[in-house]
Amino acid sequence: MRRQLFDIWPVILLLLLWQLWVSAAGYSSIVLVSPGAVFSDLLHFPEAYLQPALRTLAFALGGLAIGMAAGLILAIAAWLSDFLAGITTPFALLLSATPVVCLIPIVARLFGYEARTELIAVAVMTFFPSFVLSAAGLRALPPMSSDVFQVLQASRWQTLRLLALPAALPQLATALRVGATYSVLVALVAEYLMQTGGLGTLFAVTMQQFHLARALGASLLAMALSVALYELTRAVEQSVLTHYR
Amino acid sequence: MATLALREVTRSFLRRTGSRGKQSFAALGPIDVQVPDGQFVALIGPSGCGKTTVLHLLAGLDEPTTGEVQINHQPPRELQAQHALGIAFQEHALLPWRTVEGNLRLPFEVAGLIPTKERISELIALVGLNGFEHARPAELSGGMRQRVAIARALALKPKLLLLDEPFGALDAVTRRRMNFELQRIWLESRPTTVMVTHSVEEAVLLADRILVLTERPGRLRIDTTVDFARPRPAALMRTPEFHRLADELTASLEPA
Amino acid sequence: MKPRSLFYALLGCLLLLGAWELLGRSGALGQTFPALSQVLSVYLDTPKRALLLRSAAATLGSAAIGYAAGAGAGAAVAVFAHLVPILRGGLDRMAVLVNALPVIALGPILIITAGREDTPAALAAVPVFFLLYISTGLGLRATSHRLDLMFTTLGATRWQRLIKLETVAALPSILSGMKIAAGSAMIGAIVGEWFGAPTGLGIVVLNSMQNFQIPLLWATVIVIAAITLTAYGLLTVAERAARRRIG
Repeated sequence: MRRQLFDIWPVILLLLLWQLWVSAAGYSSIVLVSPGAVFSDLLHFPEAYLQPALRTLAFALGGLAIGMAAGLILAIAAWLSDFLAGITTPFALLLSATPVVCLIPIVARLFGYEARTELIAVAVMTFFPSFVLSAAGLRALPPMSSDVFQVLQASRWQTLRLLALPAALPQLATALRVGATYSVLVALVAEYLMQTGGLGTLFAVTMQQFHLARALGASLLAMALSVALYELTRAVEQSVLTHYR
Repeated sequence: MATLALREVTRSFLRRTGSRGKQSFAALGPIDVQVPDGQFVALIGPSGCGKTTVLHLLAGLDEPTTGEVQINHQPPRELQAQHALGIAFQEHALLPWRTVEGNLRLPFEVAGLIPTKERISELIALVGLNGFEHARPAELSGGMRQRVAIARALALKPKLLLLDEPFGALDAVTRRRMNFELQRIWLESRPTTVMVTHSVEEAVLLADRILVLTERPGRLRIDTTVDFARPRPAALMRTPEFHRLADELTASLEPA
Repeated sequence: MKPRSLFYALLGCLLLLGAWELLGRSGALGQTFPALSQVLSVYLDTPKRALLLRSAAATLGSAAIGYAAGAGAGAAVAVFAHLVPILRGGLDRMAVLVNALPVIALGPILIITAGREDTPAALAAVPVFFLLYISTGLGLRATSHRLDLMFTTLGATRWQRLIKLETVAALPSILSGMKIAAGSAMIGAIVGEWFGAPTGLGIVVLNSMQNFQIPLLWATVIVIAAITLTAYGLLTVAERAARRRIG
């Protein structure tokens, strides 16, 4: 416990340096704000942050759920059919090479500047780790197990349900963690570009208005959400992994 | 030259017992033994008796819980600092990214010396690996890698040579051949040597003196000299004297 | 790769390209889905090609600077943390957390500290720093125990151990981190440009999106994907070579 408290030192150090810099440089509040000003804004005007934060979180989680499901379903389809596996590979490869933030403008134009686009963007982004990792997980069977199932005359569906899917669980948990990490980022970028609400829009707008304390507050809140999701999904991943070893 | 002394040495470890407790777990000793310069000592004993621990203590890789380990009346770390220690493990511990030559140069580099081409060639010839200077460990057989490990251990003409089951990972035929190679190599400079082995025959063939340890915690059970003249030929292994000694020692390894 | 899988993959490529062309031409997915031929024609249009090349140079420049700075600093801090273990716990924790941050959220902070012009490079450097810190740290700790003991018996100093053993053994892991960092650097540079950089592929993406220049938008995104894929491919080759050599 003491170790964990000690380990926060870099964060404290950064906050201190930030505060010192602001005091020393004496910039006006349009150019730079102190950590104190940011925290004060967060504390005194929570209602300005709450709704956007909840919205971003909702879209991130919603898109994550859709993307994970789609990835898993396609991975199962690819597992059932070599043909499908073959033809989807170049598609998946091409899209995975594209930095996620660049796909968002394309998706935004395809589906319009609306709320559903944000959901689609997050779903598309979380689809890839889900697809790739699920496909790998379905194939990572314990040695000789597929032979056992063959001897038992198990059907394709039974093999899927009783062997491949449980075997894929650790990889799915990893996909969840990876997806969760990116989901908030994608939601933010989509909101920033399309101004559809949420924390991304809050900070685009407050940046333009030079209301720096609020912009940084939105930024910090987004970081907190991202980290919270990451920690949560990492804990899930760890427990799945230990359970399965 | 190196004289060794283990004075009333014990080594215990703390082991976690159950969920909360820690218990002291005696691995070795008390053990008291002195080794004069130039002697080849073989250390045998049942599994887990602490043979490797003795080697680690002599190498300065570990400290005794009680007692003293001295090499030339100094702690083993001194020998490390003088770069006068040569050790070969069962797993060769060669750097996979360096060639044979590169691996042989390593002890020199660490000691801040520059080896001459002649010295490197000498080492390679010593272990019979001519032509393999530029091969990497992955390209060599197990026996060849062990030979590189031994050559590396001898690179700086060490005062003390420690061998931890160096041929343990080899098949019987290669192992036998390597035994005679080691004898030939050792006779060139006769460093003080301590070799841990599971093979009684290997010990009788190579050593001047054999120490048998009891089961854990290992204590000295038998301390016997081997008087066969050197160099010892393969024919020796078929003589009744050889067999008698080997059988006695094997019997002593049975639980008391 | 099985010949049949390869065949399916090629078939998949052709189907993909064909479907793209047909869907675009027919307008079945709306005005905002261009046909393959429309996208390709952007590359053939001289002024647009010049724009793309100029912008690519600018973005690559920022990404490369950020990458070099981030990677160098990340590896250096990892070596430092390796030598001073008491600091490592806190740094590791922070590295993992910062790696989980949405890069766009760092934008305002970097504009203030680095200025609008340098934000793309700075935003590229931050994720690269943490990826390299993590992968270098992992690599340095991955040295085999047996080799470690051997170095002790040779009487090696801490510095000798670091240079001759640990950093070499760490190379495969470092290259693995560098491989992943390539994509992060590009993302950082592009998002950084959205905060007001003068030129760059990110700007072209933004403008073409806002001005409904759809073929240009797609063409630019493809260029970005191609650059990222090339960098990733080259680094993968390097990583494989290192793994073969170092084991």
